[in-house]
Amino acid sequence: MSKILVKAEQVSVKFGGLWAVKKVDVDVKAGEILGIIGPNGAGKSTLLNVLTGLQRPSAGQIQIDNGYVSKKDAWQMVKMGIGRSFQTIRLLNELTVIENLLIGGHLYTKRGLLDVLGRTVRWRKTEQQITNKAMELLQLLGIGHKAQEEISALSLEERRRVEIARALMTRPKVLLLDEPGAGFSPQESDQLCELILSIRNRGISVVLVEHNMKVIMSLADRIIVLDHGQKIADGTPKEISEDELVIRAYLGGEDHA
Amino acid sequence: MNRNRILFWTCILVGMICILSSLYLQNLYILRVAVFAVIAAMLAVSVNLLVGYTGQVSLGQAGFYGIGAYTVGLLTTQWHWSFWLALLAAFILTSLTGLILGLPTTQLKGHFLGIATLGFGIIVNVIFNNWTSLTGGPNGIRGIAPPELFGISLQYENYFLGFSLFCLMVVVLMVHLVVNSAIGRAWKCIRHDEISAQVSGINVYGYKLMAFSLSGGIAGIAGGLYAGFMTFISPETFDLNQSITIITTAILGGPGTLFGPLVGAGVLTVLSESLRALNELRLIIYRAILVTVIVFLPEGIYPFISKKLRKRGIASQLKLKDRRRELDEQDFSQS
Repeated sequence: MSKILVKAEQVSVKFGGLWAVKKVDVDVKAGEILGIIGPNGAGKSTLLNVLTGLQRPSAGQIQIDNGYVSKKDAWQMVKMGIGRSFQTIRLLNELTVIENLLIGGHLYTKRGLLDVLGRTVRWRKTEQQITNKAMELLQLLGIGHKAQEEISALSLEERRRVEIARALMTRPKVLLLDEPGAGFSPQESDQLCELILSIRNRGISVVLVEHNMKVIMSLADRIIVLDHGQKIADGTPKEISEDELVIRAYLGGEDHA
Repeated sequence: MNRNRILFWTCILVGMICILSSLYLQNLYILRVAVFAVIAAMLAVSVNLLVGYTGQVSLGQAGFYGIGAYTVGLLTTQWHWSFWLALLAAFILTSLTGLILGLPTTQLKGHFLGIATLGFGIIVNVIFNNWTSLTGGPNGIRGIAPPELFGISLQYENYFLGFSLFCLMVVVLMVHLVVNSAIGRAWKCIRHDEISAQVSGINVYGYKLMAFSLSGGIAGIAGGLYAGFMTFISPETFDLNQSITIITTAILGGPGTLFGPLVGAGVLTVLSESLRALNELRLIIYRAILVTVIVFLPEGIYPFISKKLRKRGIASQLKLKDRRRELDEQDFSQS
């Protein structure tokens, strides 16, 4: 059994009187692609927010590398190796692609006042390193020629790639992608699949929230199904596609299938 | 890269020339106005760190300015510190004040932050007015000794202008270095989108505190300069009006740019001085011009000008490139 990187136990989030996420267990193993699916409003995005520290759980625990992190802020979670992208792309539109990526490299720069004011050798070195790293990632994602363009000049698909690149700049062990393929053509979806596989092949675990069943069934090693904030199934794609609860949640009917 | 370096050294050179030429200025009136303009520029630079780069409103900048001035005033008159030590103390004290003010207020956003910082400015002013045993109340502090540098007294306006210009240059240089680093990128990201900053591993709270602290420190130095120049300070200089003027200067000049605040301070000084003859009417005209500029140049005066210049620059460069290509082709065909 491979190592468990992230372990969430009985995580719950309550908004007012509504349980957005209720007593969900998630564990992300090293090197796997974990799919999270569920109907709209099932709590997928909230669960991702909890796992990345943007949302404090109302109850439950999260462990990263066997250390409890439920009280940490998002930037500290990033430090521990959790990177993510958003369903609605969050990039700085007025800045260029490379500038956006450099922001993602923040943790790997020298940023003490003395280094910055003195322009020390190690400061120069780290700046050069993250710039090189950013260019390398852009090449890998096939948008190297767009490095100097502003985000506002890019297509939706390119922006998604830039956002994934920015998340990779933080050198995550686990990358959480929130509907990375929303609004993509079938061809673009295929390219996205290749991209996600290549990320996994670099040893990064991927947690994938996706509506496109084709994408998720072909990529995921394991799938968690959420409905009304609760986990109703957890298993391989094959098991999931035969699970009665899942079918009922998606089709809505009684013994329909 | 190379072009940036040339630009950088040109700016340094221009700064040096300004400092040296200030020593030859004769007109006392212009000298005094110029010193006030330099102090106004430094204040605008300080608030620009918050408003321009980090996207945090500060309507209490005069509070830091006043604390800096009073620190220098009190330490030099009551405790007979040297001006330089007092100036350093003013910087440290205002940085700390910025940090402490930032602790609760950086959790606030937009209007709420504006009101909180406004409150800070007013509280500081009230303290100046009412803690009579320490601050002298409304009478202020008199007889602050003008600073001396290598045995030369800076009470002569020429020298003081040169000195304050030098301080401004150092501050702008420091801001340039900080802004063009991971710190500046973090600030920029916070201004645009805090959640992006969070998931990029940026400690949003910490970087906001840092902006508050640096901004306070720079305003404190401006206050120290003011005290050293005027040799007399009183609470009404550091009131709400002053805070508003400071933030207006930065916004008018071009927030989030290095030279915007300097341009803003220059333009506003020239404007208010040239309208002086109009007495009461000048206030109306002055504000009317402000409104007009904000409406027509919302991004500020400096970005507007630099964009125009850059467009022209790019056009001429393209022409140059075409010309070179023609020449290359000619060479090629000849060989």
